Amino acid sequence: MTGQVTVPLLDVRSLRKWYDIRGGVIPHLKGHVQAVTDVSFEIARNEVLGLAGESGSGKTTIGRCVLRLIEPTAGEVKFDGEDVLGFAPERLRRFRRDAQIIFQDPFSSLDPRMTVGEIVAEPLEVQKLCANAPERRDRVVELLDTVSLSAEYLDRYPRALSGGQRQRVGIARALAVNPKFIVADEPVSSLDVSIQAQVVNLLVDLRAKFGLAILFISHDIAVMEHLSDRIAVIYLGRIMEVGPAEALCRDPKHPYTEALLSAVPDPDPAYRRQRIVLDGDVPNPVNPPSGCVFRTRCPRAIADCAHMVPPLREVASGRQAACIRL
Amino acid sequence: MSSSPIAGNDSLVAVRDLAVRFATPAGPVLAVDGVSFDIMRGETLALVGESGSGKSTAALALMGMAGLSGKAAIEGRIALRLKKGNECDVNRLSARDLRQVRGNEIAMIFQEPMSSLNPVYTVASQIVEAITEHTKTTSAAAHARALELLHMMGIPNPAKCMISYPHQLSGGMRQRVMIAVALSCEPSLLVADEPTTALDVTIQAQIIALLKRVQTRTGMAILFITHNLGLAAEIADRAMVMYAGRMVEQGAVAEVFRNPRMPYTQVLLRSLPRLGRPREPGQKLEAIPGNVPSALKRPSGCAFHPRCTFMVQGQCDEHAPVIESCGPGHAVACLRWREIAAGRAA
Repeated sequence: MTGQVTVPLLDVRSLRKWYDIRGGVIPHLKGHVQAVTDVSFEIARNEVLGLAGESGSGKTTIGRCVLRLIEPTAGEVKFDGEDVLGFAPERLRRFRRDAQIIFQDPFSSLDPRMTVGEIVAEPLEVQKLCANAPERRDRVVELLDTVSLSAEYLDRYPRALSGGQRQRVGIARALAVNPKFIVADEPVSSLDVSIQAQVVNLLVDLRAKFGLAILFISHDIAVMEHLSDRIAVIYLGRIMEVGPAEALCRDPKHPYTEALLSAVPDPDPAYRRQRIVLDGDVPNPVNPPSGCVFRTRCPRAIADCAHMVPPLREVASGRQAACIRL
Repeated sequence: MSSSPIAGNDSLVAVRDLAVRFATPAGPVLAVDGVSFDIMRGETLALVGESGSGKSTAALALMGMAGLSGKAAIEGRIALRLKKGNECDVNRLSARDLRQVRGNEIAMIFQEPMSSLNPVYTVASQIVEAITEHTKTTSAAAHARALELLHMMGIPNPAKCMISYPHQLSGGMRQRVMIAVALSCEPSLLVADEPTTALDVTIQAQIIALLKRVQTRTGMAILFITHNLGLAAEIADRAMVMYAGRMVEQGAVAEVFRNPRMPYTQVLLRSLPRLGRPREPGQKLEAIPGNVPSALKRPSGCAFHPRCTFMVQGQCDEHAPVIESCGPGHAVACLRWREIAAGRAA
C-alpha cells in the first residue's frame, strides 16, 4: 500500500498582500495598504470554503492572489502540492486549466463585442483543448447546456441577455477547461432576488457533478451558509474565525462573527436575533489598530487586546478563532 | 368635486391609481401601472420589489420628480396632507409649489450618497443651503442647526465633519450626512430609496437603528424602498410588494411575511436562504423559473403568470387581477388567491 497522504487541493500559508504607498516631493515609500496579512487556510478536493467579510476586508484580494491574478507580497500558495507562486509563465497557463474564476458583475466581465459562443470557446482555444472548430462548437453547446442555456444563445451578444443568463455564461466559460477549483467572487450579488436562487442551485449542482472545490467569496452570509462546507470570516485583511458553516452560523465564537451574523436582517418577523450594533467604521488598512484589528469596534475588548495579534487557535472541536477573550 | 382620498386624520399620503408612462426610443414604457396606497403619520411603509418593478419611479412620483429624467406622463392622484393641515395633489402642483413641498414636507435619501452630495461643497454648506432654502433662518442659526443635526446622526466629531468634503467621509458617514440634509427642515415623510444597499451589513445595522431613533423622536413617516425582504420585515410596519409596475400585495409586515397570499411573494420568500435554520445536506433553494419581465414587454393578464406554478391558461394570462382584500388590512392581486389559500389550487 502506498499510503497516500491527503494533500489539500489548495494550501495557503501566511499570505500577505501589501500595496506600497509612494508620495512626497521626492517620491519615497510612505506606507502600505495592508490589504491581506498572514492569512492561512486549506481547501480540500470537492470542498466549498466560504470567505465572508465586508468591503475592504481583503476577500477579493485573497481570491485573486491564490490564482496569481495579482502577485502576493509574501506567503505560500500550494495547489495539489505544487508551489503556485513559483510557476513559470508556461506552467502558470496550464494552472489556469485547473483553477478558474467567476466574477461578480456579469455585465463588465463579458466582452460586449463577442457572442456567447465566442466567449465560452475562448478558453478552449487558449488552452488548445479541442482539435478543430466543429469539435469546439459541440463542446460549447454542451457547456451551455450544463448551465441550462439552449444552443440558440450561441450567436447572441451579452447585451441581449438578462443578468442571470450572463452569469450562466460566465460560469460556462469557467467550466470550459474542466477545472478542479473555482474562485467564485460574489457570483450572485448583482442578481435580482428571484434569480439568485437559480444561480445558487446551479452552483450546488455543478459542484456535485464535477467534484469542484470552490472558494466562495461573499458578503451575504445567508447564501454562504447554504453553499459552503466551511466558512472563514475575515476582517481588515485577517482571518477572525474558521469553522463548519452550520456550526459557525448557529454558534459564532468570535465577537466579530457574532456581530456580523446579528446584523443580517431576517424576513420572518417572528425570528429576531439579539442585534449587536457595532460602533464606528472599519479602520483604515493603511494604519490598522495594533494587536487585534477588531478591538476598536469590539464590545468585549480589554486593554490586553492592543498588545498582541491574537493567533488563530482551536477554541472548540473543529472550530478556530483569533481572540484572546475566548 | 371628488371627495378627498385622505379620510382619517392619521393619513399623510393617499396615492390613487398612479400611472407613470415614459416615452423611450424603444417604445412607451408603463413603469408604474395603477398603483394605490396610503401612508399613515409616523409609520414606516416598505416598498418591496426587484429591479424594474417600478418601486423607485413610484417614489419619485411622490416627490414630483418622476418626470425629471425624460418625457413622462403621470396620471392619478397623489394627495399629501401638509404640515399646516390643508392638503395638496403633488401631481398638480406648480414647479414653485413643488419646491416648497420637497424638503419641507417630503425629503428623500438615495442609495449612493456620493452621487447625491455635491463633491465641491463642504458638508456644512450643503446642510446650511437646505435649511436656508426652505426656512427664513440666518446663516449662523442654520449653521448651529447643522451641527446639532450631525450630532443627532451619531457622527463622532460633528465639527470636523462640518468642514469635510464628501470624498473624505466613509460610505456610512456620507449616508448620515444625507439623512441630516433630508431631516434639516423636519419633513413629515422621508422617502428612503435603498439607503443601505451600498453599505456593509454592520453599517446598515447602524443606519437602520439611526432611522428608527430619529423616527421615534420626530414622528415622521418613512417610505422605505428596498429589494431586501429581510430589511423590509425589520424596519417596516406595513409592506407593499410590487412586480412589473403593479402592486401585487400589501398589508401589515407580520401578515405579508408570515401569511403571504400572492404566489410571487410566497415563492420569493421561500427562495431566500435563511441564516441559522436547520437544513439537509445538498438541499436546494426553491428557485423561481424565468426572468424578471422587461418593461417593454410586459406579459398579458397577471404579469407574474409566466413564472407562476398556479397559472391557469385562459385565466391568468388573459385577465389582469384586481386588488382584493384578503384579510384585515391585507390586500392581494391574484385571481386564484382564495383557492391557493385554501390549499385547493394545484
